[in-house]
Amino acid sequence: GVAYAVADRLITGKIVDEKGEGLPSVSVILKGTQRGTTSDLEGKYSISVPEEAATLTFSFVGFASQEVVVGNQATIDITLKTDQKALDEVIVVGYNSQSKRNIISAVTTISGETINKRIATDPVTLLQGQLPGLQVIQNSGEPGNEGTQLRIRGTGTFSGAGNDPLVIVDGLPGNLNIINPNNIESVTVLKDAASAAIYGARGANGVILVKTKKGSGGGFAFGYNFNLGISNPTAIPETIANSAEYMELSNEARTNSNLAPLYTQSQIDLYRNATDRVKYPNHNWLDDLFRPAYVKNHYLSMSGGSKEGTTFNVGVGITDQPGVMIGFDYKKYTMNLGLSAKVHKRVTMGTDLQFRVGDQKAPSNGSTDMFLSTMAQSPLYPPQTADGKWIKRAYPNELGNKNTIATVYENSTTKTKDYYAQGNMSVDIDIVDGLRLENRAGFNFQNTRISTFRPVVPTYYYNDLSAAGGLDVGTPGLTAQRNDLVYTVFYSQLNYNKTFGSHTLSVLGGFQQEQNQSSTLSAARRQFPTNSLTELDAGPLDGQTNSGTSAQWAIQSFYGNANYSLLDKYLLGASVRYDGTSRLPNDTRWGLFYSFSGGWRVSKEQFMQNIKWINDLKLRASWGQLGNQNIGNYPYQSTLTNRNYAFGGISTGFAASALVDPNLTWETTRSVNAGLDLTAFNNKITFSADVFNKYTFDILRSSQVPLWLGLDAPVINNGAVRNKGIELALQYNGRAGSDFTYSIGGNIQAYKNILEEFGKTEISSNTIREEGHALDEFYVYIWDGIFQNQSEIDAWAKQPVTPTPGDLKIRDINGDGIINDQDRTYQKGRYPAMQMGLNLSANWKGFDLSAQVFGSVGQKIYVNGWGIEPFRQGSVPTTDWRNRWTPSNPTNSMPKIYVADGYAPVQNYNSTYFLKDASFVRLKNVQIGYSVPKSLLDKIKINTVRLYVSADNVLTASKFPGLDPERVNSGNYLAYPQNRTFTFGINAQF
Amino acid sequence: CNDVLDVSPPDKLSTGIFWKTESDADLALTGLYNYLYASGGGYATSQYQVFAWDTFSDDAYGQYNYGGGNSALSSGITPQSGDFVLNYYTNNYKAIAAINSFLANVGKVLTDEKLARYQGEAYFLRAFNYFWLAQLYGNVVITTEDPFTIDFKSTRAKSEKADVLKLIEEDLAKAIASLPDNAYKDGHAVKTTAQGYLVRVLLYEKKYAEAAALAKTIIAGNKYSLWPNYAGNFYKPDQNSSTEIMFSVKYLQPNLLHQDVAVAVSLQRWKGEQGTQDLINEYEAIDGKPIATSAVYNPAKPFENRDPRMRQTFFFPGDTKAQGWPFTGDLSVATPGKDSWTVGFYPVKKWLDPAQVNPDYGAIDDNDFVLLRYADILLMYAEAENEANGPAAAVAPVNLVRKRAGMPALAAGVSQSQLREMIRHERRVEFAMEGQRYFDLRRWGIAEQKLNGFVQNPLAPTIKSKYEAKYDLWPIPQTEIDRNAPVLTQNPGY
Repeated sequence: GVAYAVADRLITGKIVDEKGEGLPSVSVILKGTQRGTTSDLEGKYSISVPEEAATLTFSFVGFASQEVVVGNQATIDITLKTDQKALDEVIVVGYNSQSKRNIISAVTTISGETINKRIATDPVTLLQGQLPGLQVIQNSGEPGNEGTQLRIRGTGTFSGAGNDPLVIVDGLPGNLNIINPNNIESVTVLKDAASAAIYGARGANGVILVKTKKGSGGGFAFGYNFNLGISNPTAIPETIANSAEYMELSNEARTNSNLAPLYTQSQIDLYRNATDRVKYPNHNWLDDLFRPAYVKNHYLSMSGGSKEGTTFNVGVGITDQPGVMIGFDYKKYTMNLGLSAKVHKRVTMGTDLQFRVGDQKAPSNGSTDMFLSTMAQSPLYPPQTADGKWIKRAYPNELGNKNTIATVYENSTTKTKDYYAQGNMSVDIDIVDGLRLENRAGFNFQNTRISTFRPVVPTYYYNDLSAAGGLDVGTPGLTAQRNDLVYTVFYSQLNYNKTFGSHTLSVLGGFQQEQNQSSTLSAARRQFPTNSLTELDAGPLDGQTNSGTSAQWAIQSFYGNANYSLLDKYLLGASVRYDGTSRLPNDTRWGLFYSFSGGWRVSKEQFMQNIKWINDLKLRASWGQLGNQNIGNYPYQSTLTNRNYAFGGISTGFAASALVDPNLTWETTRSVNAGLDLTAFNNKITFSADVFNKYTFDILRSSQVPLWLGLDAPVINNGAVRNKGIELALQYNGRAGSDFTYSIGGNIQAYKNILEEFGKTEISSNTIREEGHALDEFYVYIWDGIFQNQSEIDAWAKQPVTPTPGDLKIRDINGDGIINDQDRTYQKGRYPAMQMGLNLSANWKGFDLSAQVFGSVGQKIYVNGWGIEPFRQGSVPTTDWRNRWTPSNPTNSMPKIYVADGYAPVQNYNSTYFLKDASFVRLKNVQIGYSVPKSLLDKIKINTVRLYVSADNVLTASKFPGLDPERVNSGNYLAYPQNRTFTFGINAQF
Repeated sequence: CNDVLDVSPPDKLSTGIFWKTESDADLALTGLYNYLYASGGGYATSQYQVFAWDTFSDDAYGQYNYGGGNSALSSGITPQSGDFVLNYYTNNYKAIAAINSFLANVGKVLTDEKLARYQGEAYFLRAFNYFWLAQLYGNVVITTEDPFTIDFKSTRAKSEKADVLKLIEEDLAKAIASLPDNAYKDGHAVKTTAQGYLVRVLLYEKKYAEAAALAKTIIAGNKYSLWPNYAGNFYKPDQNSSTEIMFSVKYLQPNLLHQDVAVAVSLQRWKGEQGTQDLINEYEAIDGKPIATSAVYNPAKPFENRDPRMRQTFFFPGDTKAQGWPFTGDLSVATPGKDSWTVGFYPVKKWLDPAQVNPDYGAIDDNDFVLLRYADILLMYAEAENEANGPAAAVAPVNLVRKRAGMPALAAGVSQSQLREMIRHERRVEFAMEGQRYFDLRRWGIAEQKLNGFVQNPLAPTIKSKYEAKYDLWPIPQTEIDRNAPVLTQNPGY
């Protein structure tokens, strides 16, 4: 240890259980550091400690931890007792902490250690499958833009107020994304109204509480983590890359679609019989688009503290994350600081700060455009000739999209630099015994600079290398944008905790104020003299534009919470919050939110005393009402829109075009929860179950106004959605022999969503909002196979687009002999029926193994366009189309091949043909680690070294065709793929 | 401490402080004209980017389906089809709402003649918008109240087309009574603009005598003449001085530009719309005879000795800089099949500023979209006069248009029905790529006959257009039917 100034000395001892048997694998940690060891087979251990007074912590699963002050002892033997108080773990809930034992609301928590068993650069993705009640979907593997969606207990609303949970970092609203995963101490999810009511108007979608790491007194530890990951897409579609086959299929599709064929027989023969494969290639463009990506993470940490009560934790992280799709790159630098000082016997001051600098590069039209444009290239030509000419198409009559490879290499790029800081300062004063004044002020600053440059790039036709116009990257030039966010918050609260005989009471009350200001500034110039000048001043003045605006909101709140426990058996809790927001009109801006909860520790009752296998059993129930305030900044204020016109010069004009409802009020969620927590068999098994009924009403939504009114619809309070569900979690910690310990944990969540109140049914292209059905349930035609011949068509119901053999058969739902809008019907699958996680871990001597399985079942995704439909903008068909319907291949599973640029017999029906089963079960992660034996490390004065290999998204079972099933959105089939990553890493503690 | 919670948008005018001063009337009137920039719902179109309407007809092929014409002619039209059925409907009603609000409030800040003039412009614009609705959908909902006073939960039935047309006539009459009697100049509608539109409406209603009389009044007013350079009506700077333009959507570069991309890019570079062979065949030979019978037409050189408007409207194989072909280098000679040119069609030249060279991404232009020309008044007069009173006085105005184009006068002594065909021919070639053809075919009652089964490209004879009689009235968008159920019913046949 380079960091040690004082000489160390060795402490040895033996650890036994209550029966006197040696306990192996007990963790022995020098308190306040990350220095530690584990006991051997016989329960023996040795550890070096600094000369100064030190404390050792002994801990093992299922046993109560013990702390021993070393003093001048050289041998310390320990007897560990079976843990009766594993539940005494303290977790952060709202504005205070509570022991897990006394929690009577629906709360679930996970340690940073467990989270970091997977390796990922975005901490949000690490929560997947870990916390029952929290649904995490990672939309893509795009670096720095994973599009992760968090939902607590389902989709509660269809309003702009949104479904994103509130994230609290170290006590104040913040951002989970910017935290380095290594710096997370714990994550807690508040799911029901009772736990979230203290957050009032911001708690309706649930709350995620993040606690970052703190130092602890007495010592100093230095750690370094490094890992290198190799990523590849989990799945990409297999396409037809043989040019002659492509041309023949294209001609077949065009003939089927009543379009003139594009390729002549002689052109097809040229490619089929060519010997010169440079001139007549079979080019697979996807090979140009994807590459293996090497992801590197470094994390340095220092933590510790002084005896006087100052503790600190500092971390610096560097992430270098190129994308598996060319043109994407993300570098991230994080810094965190946690500092706490007891400046007086009654006064503690502290601060927690996190900084992130993000440096992101992406092609200027984004990842979906990159993917679909690449698919829309025929195999007849490469992206570039040997002498550097970029190719548009082989022949001018071919269809297609932009040459994506050229956009990357000619730097048609959006660069985003993002500077984010969040943090807080706190002063806590112990006024008298039990009474404490807590003050906390925090801020989030974000500054984002986005610059998009679009070059002028000539392109050519490959057959004769004649000019083909500019590369399609949009208007050439530079757009520079700057977004700023300043958010400030403070609260002051009084906390009172007291035990009077068999009564225990804790009460808190406080005031909080939040203000948010955001602004944006943007400027553009077009047609730069060269592609190498990429700042605004280099561009021509003619046609320059600029724009900018700002917005603000504020919220003030009074809040309080009380918890009471009698005989440790009967538990009661209540929370209240009174919120006022700038987003609502004066008369309705203050709202009252509250909750009540109760718990009964059954295991403490006399009649339970004979049931020995139960260690603890608690029943609990809660009821409460919460609000949602994310409703636009000025939803009740009537304004005019700027509308100019060119009367000779530019004349300024205005018009009012939107209705507002001056009586807007909060969107409210009422939720009921019942649950139980059980620990049993010497604390080896823990189980918890929750059922909930969450009802969101007065939903803020755009009214449905008739179009002839000519005005934009007002936002009104109308509509209700209910989510009912169940969450189960079970964990078993076991041991086999003296060296092998293991644990198995699983969780399941299932819920049902119903739109209970909406008004007139609204049908979008493939979804419906209708009372009594799931919100945005799929509403489509049923695809019933393929018309095999004309007589089958004649016998079938009359379809509005006259079909020919090989087209889709659409089911006549109402049996009237005519297919029309009345024949669309409901299809389940808008939301997963069930999600589950399974976590395994095992330790044997120096080896550790963990595995995580995640499954999501019952969801469907409606996908169309490039990649799944043939010849959209000339895009290459997948190899599936070799099994297409033809007169000689009378299949019922695929239609005849067509050109998906408006082929009515297929594309005019939003049908189940496009609705794909996206259920999946995947081995999300496997990790094997090895901790280097202490005997080897002591010589080089290193405390611990752990080496590991990890694989992410290893195996997936799904029926979803061609691409990864895990995604958020219906619509375009092609989306930036998920990554399969193999990681090698090392953790070292000094 | 409640002031923390009192915030207002710092970039938007509150309605509470509007309609207080005279200048508010100017701001609001300008706002009404801004609705002429309405989107078409598709890429590279606005509703008033008139040439997109020709892809709904036998005049042009929309290879990228801008505006939806190509899809209307291939897949047909349904209450849910494409963007166009919904967008044009909502465009017009949004404008009408703003106009009705203007009419309800302008009296608060203006009086007397100025008030009448401002109201006149609003009445003109309301008629303009309702006429679009009447032509496209026929029977539509009528609303003339301040929209902010209407219960937004209410439903309303549609009115008969005849009642919609009656409102249009009334509004135009009010506009004519109060608008200034100047020539159209800066974008503001004038008396003759409203009169011109009324001629169009009367002709649409087949009120031939009235239409002829009003057209004659405009002609006699002598405020307009045919601009000697036919092509100059379609681009700046000629558009600024043309004595022929009676109403247009005005643009001004670099800040008030066409929706999405410049015409020079969408029309010229990408060739989003291209003329059909059928239209090219319609252009007479220079001797005034159809190509089938002309002695000066040489099938070996089909693009020579033709009506000069043909070459002023389209490009042809072999064109170079001398013919205004804007491309250089490899593309300096116009060649079908190259650079997005679909073989069998003809790239558009009308609307192209001849100063453009190699137009491509980032090129800007600010051509006004011309909605009413004096040539139209002359041809509408000829049509109405011929239908009402026979050919005697109806030939002369057609010959004026032909003379300006460089074409010989019509043969003397034609019959009424012969002249009817000649006028239909003249309208097609005079207004090619000006969005008139689709509406002409429908009002003449020959849209199904001309369009159903029409072969756009003779090189692909199996591909035929689709037009059903019911398309003479488009369906009302399904959303509107749903929101006004049960009182609002769909047009017949959908």
